[in-house]
Amino acid sequence: MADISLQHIYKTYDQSVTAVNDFDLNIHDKEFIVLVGPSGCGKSTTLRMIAGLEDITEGNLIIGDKLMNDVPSKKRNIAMVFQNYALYPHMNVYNNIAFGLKLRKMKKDEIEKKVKRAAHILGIESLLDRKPKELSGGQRQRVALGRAIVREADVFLMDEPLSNLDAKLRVQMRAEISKLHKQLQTTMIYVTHDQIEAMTMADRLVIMKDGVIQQVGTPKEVYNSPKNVFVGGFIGSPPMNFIRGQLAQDTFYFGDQAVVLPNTVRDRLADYQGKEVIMGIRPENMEIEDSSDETPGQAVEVYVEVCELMGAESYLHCHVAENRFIAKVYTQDEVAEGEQLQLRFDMKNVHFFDTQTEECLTLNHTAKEAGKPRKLATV
Amino acid sequence: MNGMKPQKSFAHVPTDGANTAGGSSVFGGQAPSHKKWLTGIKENIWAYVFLAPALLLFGIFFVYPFVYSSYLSFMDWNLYNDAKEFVGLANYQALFGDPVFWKAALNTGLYVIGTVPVSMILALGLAILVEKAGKLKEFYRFLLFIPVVASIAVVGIIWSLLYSPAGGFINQMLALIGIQGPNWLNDPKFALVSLMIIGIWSAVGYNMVLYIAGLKGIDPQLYEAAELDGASGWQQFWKITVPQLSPVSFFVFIISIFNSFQVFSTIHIMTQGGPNNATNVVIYQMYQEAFQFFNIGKASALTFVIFCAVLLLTVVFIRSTQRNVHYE
Repeated sequence: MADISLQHIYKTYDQSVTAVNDFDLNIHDKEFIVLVGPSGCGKSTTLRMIAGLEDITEGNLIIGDKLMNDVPSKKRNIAMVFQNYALYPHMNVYNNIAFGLKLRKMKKDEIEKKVKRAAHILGIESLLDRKPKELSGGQRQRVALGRAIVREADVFLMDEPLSNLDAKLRVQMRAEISKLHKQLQTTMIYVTHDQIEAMTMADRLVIMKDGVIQQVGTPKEVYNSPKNVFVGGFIGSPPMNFIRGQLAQDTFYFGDQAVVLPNTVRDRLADYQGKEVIMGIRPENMEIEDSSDETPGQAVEVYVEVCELMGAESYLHCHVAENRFIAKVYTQDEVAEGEQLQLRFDMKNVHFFDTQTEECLTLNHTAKEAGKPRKLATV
Repeated sequence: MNGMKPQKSFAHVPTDGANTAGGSSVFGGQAPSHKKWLTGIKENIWAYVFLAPALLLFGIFFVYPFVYSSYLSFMDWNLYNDAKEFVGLANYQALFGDPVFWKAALNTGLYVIGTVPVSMILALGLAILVEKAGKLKEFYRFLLFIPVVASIAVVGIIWSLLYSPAGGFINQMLALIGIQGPNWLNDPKFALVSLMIIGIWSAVGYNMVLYIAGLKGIDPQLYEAAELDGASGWQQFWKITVPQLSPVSFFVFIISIFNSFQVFSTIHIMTQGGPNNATNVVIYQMYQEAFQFFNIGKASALTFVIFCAVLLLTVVFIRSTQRNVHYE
């Protein structure tokens, strides 16, 4: 069990391609960290550097209180689950799981005890005599997990372990891995490109793009307060909608529509008066205008191009002038494609971004709002 | 004879299929067998058409020579006149009573044992080294493959020069460290060993290429997983590389045994089986019996014996090693 500290880590290939750029992160003992980002963002490279399968070009990797940069993989006491499982094809399940223990010259009966226990946890006791080729994808996945469990490693690394499974099994294994984490009480670092996996499993998410950390935070934090346009667009399904427009006093104009900003937001945008900004709003923060409500200024007239029925909810693909966006509404609100309707924007939950840097200008304004009553109470 | 076998089994498959499909339920299982045959051939006419060239070649170059030489092994014939006399097992008696045959059989065995394992181990070692050679990889691969494509005549001359007792390169090198080299090809103690060295040298390149292909087929993540499991380089070699290469090793092993069994050209060029039959092997003896002594019957008997020995060995090896060969 150990803290892991990645201090300003770089990975450069052939002195020109930078795969990981100034990765700086402290991972706490027993934490479930998920590195998430599109393919090629450097998340797997980072994981492989922690495993020692890849050299660190610059920076320090500290596990526990030991500098690990030059420590070979086998001495780092790390277990890893690979995307394609990397089971030894010529060994049966028992020997696959026992391999690491045998190499450590552990006693036979002790090995058997551990293998049986891991097999029990994973529900693969009946498969111990089988070869990997005789197993289904999900079963192979469990064997790979078993191989990692018996090692009782300080750190558990997982490189897209669910991406080769079908959708249903993925959901099931997601929950099982979360359960396993609670059971094993080990630090886990998990790499995925699937933001749903990331959101559902992580204690903290690390969102990466082009080798650079975009944001670190709990799933709630990154969802509610995305630091930039990329994070807002990457986390959440459907993603956050972005609408370009002009700011004038307390109003945001886009196309021929306008919405009024709440005070907390307006204060933060003081420097952007008269300038172009990007408004970000999540699909669930829009609702179909109830004609009986008379608060002015928040409803926007949109044209519905497509209506996708998802079950209890429907996704409306709308556009206003050049801006296209998706609204998540209750299916019971019946909407026809090609219809013109009024959508109410929940302005307390919108974010504004700089058009150049794409950084969020109203970071944490929703959190501040929530913090206000406490402040009042102390006064 | 053998050529007919696949035809038969081929004809059976579709008839069974037709029965299960219910199309011939009228006939049931009572259909006359010649009718079954006919339907089988009709349905598979194109399969036979496509098989024909291969079957034809197989017949001309394997079945016919095999049957004919088996027949000749019971005859006394000197190749030049048409008179063939049936002599029963006399040729086999003569063969098994011939001390040269037993010497040649022993030499063949020694040659196989001396060349096959060494050429395999060297080939695997070189394959691993060459794969790690970085930019010079292609160059080394080319260099090590030259012996495979080099003309045997040229190889014979070069090695004769290298082995030359007085001015030869090998003995000159040995002299530098104070050893007086032997008369390699003319000393009965060293002649067979000298030929084994050439055999190994010429086989290594081919085996290496097969091993390189095998190595490239191993998932590199297996090594990463083993590394994280705590395996040293040596353990990774034994626990991952060797078992993963087992199908290649098996193939190389069988091919090498065949090739070693059939060693002929280097012996023919360099030693002609001498000195004093020290380098005589079964194939060379067969050649001598047939084309130097014109003893076609005995040569045919020897051929048949070699065929049976190789077949037996192959079956034994396949049976005994299959359990340790891991196909994915």
